[in-house]
Parts: sequence; C-alpha cells; structure tokens
Amino acid sequence: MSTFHRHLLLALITLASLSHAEASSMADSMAKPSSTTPDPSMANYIDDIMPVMDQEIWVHGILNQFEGRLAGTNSNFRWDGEAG
Amino acid sequence: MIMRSRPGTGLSRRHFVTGLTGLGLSACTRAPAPFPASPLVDASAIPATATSRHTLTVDTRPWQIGSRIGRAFTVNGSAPAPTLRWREGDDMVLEVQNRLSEPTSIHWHGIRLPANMDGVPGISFGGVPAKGAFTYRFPVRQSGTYWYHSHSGMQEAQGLFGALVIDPISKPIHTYERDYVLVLSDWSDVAPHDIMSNLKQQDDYYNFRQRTVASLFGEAKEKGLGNALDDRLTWSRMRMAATDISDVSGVIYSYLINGEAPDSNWTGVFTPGERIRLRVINASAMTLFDFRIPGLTFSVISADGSDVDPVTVEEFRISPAETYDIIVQPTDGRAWTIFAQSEDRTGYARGTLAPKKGMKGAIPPMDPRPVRSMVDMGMGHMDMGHMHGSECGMSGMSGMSGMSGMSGMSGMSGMSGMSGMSSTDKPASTPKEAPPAPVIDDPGPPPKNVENQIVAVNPIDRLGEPGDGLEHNGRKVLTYAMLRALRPAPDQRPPSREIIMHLTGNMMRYIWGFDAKKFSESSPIHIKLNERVRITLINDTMMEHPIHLHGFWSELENGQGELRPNKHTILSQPGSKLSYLVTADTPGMWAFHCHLMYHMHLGMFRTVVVS
Repeated sequence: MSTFHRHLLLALITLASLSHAEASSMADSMAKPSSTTPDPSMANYIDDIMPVMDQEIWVHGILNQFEGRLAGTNSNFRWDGEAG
Repeated sequence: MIMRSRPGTGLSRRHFVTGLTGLGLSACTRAPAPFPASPLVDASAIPATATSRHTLTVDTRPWQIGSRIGRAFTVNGSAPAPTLRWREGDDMVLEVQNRLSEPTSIHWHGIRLPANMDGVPGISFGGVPAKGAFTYRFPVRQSGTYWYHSHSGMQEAQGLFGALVIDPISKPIHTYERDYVLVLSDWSDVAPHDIMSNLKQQDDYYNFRQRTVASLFGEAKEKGLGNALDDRLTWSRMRMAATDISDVSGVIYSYLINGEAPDSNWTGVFTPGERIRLRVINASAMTLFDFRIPGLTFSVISADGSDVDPVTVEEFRISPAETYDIIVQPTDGRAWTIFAQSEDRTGYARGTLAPKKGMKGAIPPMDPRPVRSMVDMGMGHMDMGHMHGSECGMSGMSGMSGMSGMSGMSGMSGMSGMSGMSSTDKPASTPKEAPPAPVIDDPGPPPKNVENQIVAVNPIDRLGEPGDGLEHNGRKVLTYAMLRALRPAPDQRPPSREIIMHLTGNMMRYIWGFDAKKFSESSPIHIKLNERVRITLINDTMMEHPIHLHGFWSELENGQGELRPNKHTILSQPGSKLSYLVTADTPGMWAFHCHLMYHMHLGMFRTVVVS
C-alpha cells in the first residue's frame, strides 16, 4: 500500500468516525432514559432504540459526496441534487 | 465465493476441473430445493370463528418464490403470517414469542389501542427482545379489515405481515356468501438492507425504463422536436427524471397475492351468482398496486376498515398499508383474473376467482407506464397543457362543504389550500355557521437544501384524481373524493389548530423527511390530549407517499362534509395538498410516517406526543 493510499484510507476512517460520533451524540441528546418518567417535551424515541435507520453511515455515500460539487455555473459548493 | 490456495491444502488444477465438472453435473441433476413453495401455509384462510387469545411465534426460514430463495420471517411457521380473526368488544391477549436472534415487534395497523400496545420499538415500547416474549393486551373497539406487521428493522419486507379480520358487534351491513383475504405484497431475494444501500448509492438503481435517445424520436414525433427537447432539458435542470415512478421495481420484485407468485395463481372458489367479499390489503414495502378484475365491476364497501357508502368502480389504486373491501358478483361460471399491476408497470400480482381450482383466466396486458408531469412537480398552474384529472382540483365546486377544507389560506396561490373542493358525485352538507378559524401552525415553505430538492410552487387538490397512469384509461377508477362514510364521525368539533407539514426529500441522496428534516434531526409534534387538529400535508416531492398516523383515525376532508371517511393511511399524491382531522383522544407517543419502507427508514418519520 502506497503512502498516498494509506493517507487516503486514514482520512476516510477519520471522516467516518467523526460522522459516527456526531450521530451518536445527537442520538444521546435526543433519547430519554429508559427507566425514568418521560419528558414529553423532549422525547423523540425511547430506550435508545431508533425506530428508523436515517443515521447509518453509507461509505459509498461518503465517497460520492464530492461528485459534481464544483460543476455548476459558478464556483459555489453545490449540494448533491441541486438544480442548475 | 473466494477460493484460497494455502500450503498443504492447495487446489490443484486437476481438483479444480474435477470440482467444476461435479458442480455442473449436480446442477443438471439437482433434486428440487428442500424449501417449501410459497406460501409456507395457506395464510389467506380466514378462521371459522373469532378468537381473543393468540400465541404468535416469530421465527425465520428460507422462502422460495420461483427459482429464487430468500429469507422469510414467519409467524407460527407461516409467511405471510396467518390471518387473525377477532371480534369487536373482546379483550385481546396476544403473546408474541420471539425465536429470532434479533428483536422483533408486532404493530397492529389501524387498531385504536393504548400507546404502549401499538408495537413500535423506540416509540411505544422497547420491542420483543431476542429469544424473549411480550404480551399485548387491549380491547377491540372497531371492526373491519386491518393487518399487522413487524415494525422492527425491515422484517416486514420479508414476510412478517398478516391480515386482521374483526367481526362487528352488531349485525353486518352487507351479506355475502364467500369471504376472502387478498394480501398483496412485493418480495425479493435481495435483502432489504442491500436494496436500501443500492438506493442510497443511486436513487434510480432499479429504474430500467428511463428515457433514451431512441425514445426522444418517439416524443419528437408526438409533440415536436422543440417541445420534446425542452421537456428533457426542463427535467434535467431540476435533476429529476419523468420516469421516476417507483424506487424499487419488478426488476427484483415478485408481486404476490397471499404469498403466491403470478404463476402459482392463488384461486378463490365461487359458485356463479354468489356475492364474494374480497378484503384487499396492500402489505408491500414499496409498491402501489392498481387493482381490477377485468370484465367485472365491483362495489367498494370499506376503506381502511371503515364502512363507506358503496361505490361501484372497475379499478382502484391501493398504496402500501391501505385496505379496501369490495363485493363482486360474477354470474358466469368461468375463471376471472384478479389483476394488480404495479404503478410503474414493471410487474403484476395475479390470482383467479373460479368455480374450481386449476382454472385460469386470461391475463391482460399491462397498461402503459405513467410519466411524471409538471403537476407532479407542484407546478400545476404553470403547465396547463399537462393538466389532467380534476383540472387544478377545482372541479365539483358545488360540493365545497362549507369551505371546511380551506386550510392554509395564507398560502392560497392558485387556490392550493382548498382541499375541501374536490370533485364528488354527491353534494356535501353545509354547516350552519362558519366555525372559528383554527390556529395555524405553519413553518412556511421548507428551505431547499441537501435534504430537500424542491418546493411545490403550487400544490393542488388531487383528491378527485385516480392517480398517475390511471387517468383516461377507459375504466371507472376510484378516487378519494368518492369515499363517503356511512356515519358521521362522533367528534364533529371544528379543529382548534392546523398543523401544516411538507413532505420533502432529496431523491439523489435518497434522504426523506418532513419539512426538510429527517427523523433524527426533528423534534416531536405535540398535541394536547383531546385536542382536535387539522393536519395538512403538502407533497413537495414528485413521489406518492402513503402517510400513516398511528393510534388515531384520520378523517379525510374530501368534500363529503360530516361524512368524512375514516382512514389510517392516506396517500398523498405528488405535488398535492390535502388535509384531514384528528381527535387526539389517547395519550402517549405515536409514530407518524410514510409507509414506503425505505422512505420511512431514511427519514420520513416523526414522533407525535399526545399529552
């Protein structure tokens, strides 16, 4: 494995870890303790059980992030799917 | 498969060739697969009597459809799960035993019950743990046709669903000699998580019917080269595709009736002249079906379990999680094909009504596949050439039902808020005086960002439209505007608050949500106990979304006045605006989501807190 590939792999792992850490901290802040009285003003889900999977890490999604970002009519950073 | 050659265990060329030959021979002479053909048991059979106590054992086993073998989640050894028959007024005791090595759950779809019995892990309870058990206890306060399914992971997409038939406590309204359940579903040997991964990678991964250079010539011939090119460029500028109908298609799905593939031909036996009640349930993960029995008309007598004034039609669209009960009366003693084609016309479910098993009716060709228009993009007033159906949703204005549907008048560009003005066959009643205006909880148009590609400029009322691909097909097709409840809802209070929500998404990233936020970034919707609210949905996307509010009836404001139909799942058409009333009479946390499985799991989900 070349130095370049090693650095690329390290960068990807770091990126994935940061994303996961962010997701986990968000989940922690939104979940309520399972054994305490729920606070209806805060609760979004209980028992640390996410009812859906919208925080999963999609590695191929991460790799795809920069495709076409700078291909617009100006030099602005574009979000994927942004109309021209 | 990866073959590794290690010292001492190396694979010699001779062994390799011998192995290949052996494999080829075994493929030629292979015995039939040891897995049972679908369904694993006759799940469609309605039990002879209602039972209030059930033990449901959840397990897993292989499931073979045609030549493909996938994994099925079973209930009491059956996929789809067995039909349960209950009786209104009974106190149910349902013990779920989990033999899986992962958690499971059972959600009783459309059933009014205490929040902690609703069966949504993370919202109503902690789930049924692996190798554990959970007992559901609740009274049954309704009758009709419903269904139950797992709300854990994607077990539902792999067979963990079944029909519920609840006998009314009073004398049944309709008489019939035969009673069948028709559970429609989509099945694939590709694991659901892999499907979701592919969609995340490329949203049109399963769309094999995109426009091509060759099809441009056809379009040019039809509407002129300039218009055809202009149309293509318009879609391209929006980063959208007019052929984007279903996210997952018949490329990998087999469409089933009661767990039977089209070739297996599920058959319901009848004697000519008998009235047959068919309880049609769409238990699919991602497929809208267009249901008909070619050559026959039928009466729709119930929608989502609630009785409606019978409507005679030839066809209806049923979205995931909806149910319709119909009565059909064939007089000829021949085979009648039950035909449910997917909205994108990439496949169909097929069964038969016949005097005896083994008879087959002709299978009709599928209709042309629909193509999205600017109406679906929420630009109804901008592209009148493409208008269809209810002409901006303003047909039938005589049935304005006291303007009760005029929600969101602050944003009434193009009359977009007039959801009570849909086309209807019957004039609706008019309130004596206008109710006080509800407080409007409107966050305004959502921002366009990575989670929201488009905002509908002019969403319109499409309740009078049968749906994309069903207009002008020569058949009488059911619309939401035709549904009229038999009895007024018990709560006729005007809403004190209106909650306006946008259905949003970024198809290229395959992110879905409400108001440009996916679930994990959202906060709960709070409703006071016994509050009467109007929920207004504006569909900013170009996809249909069947929206399911757990725990409560959704009284669809479809121009029928006090006789609003009760629904538990409401299909929001692309670029449309609709509203429904809810009485929040049961406290707790409830799920509120799109019932297209991958839309739900990728963000189109909210928690509703009633307290």
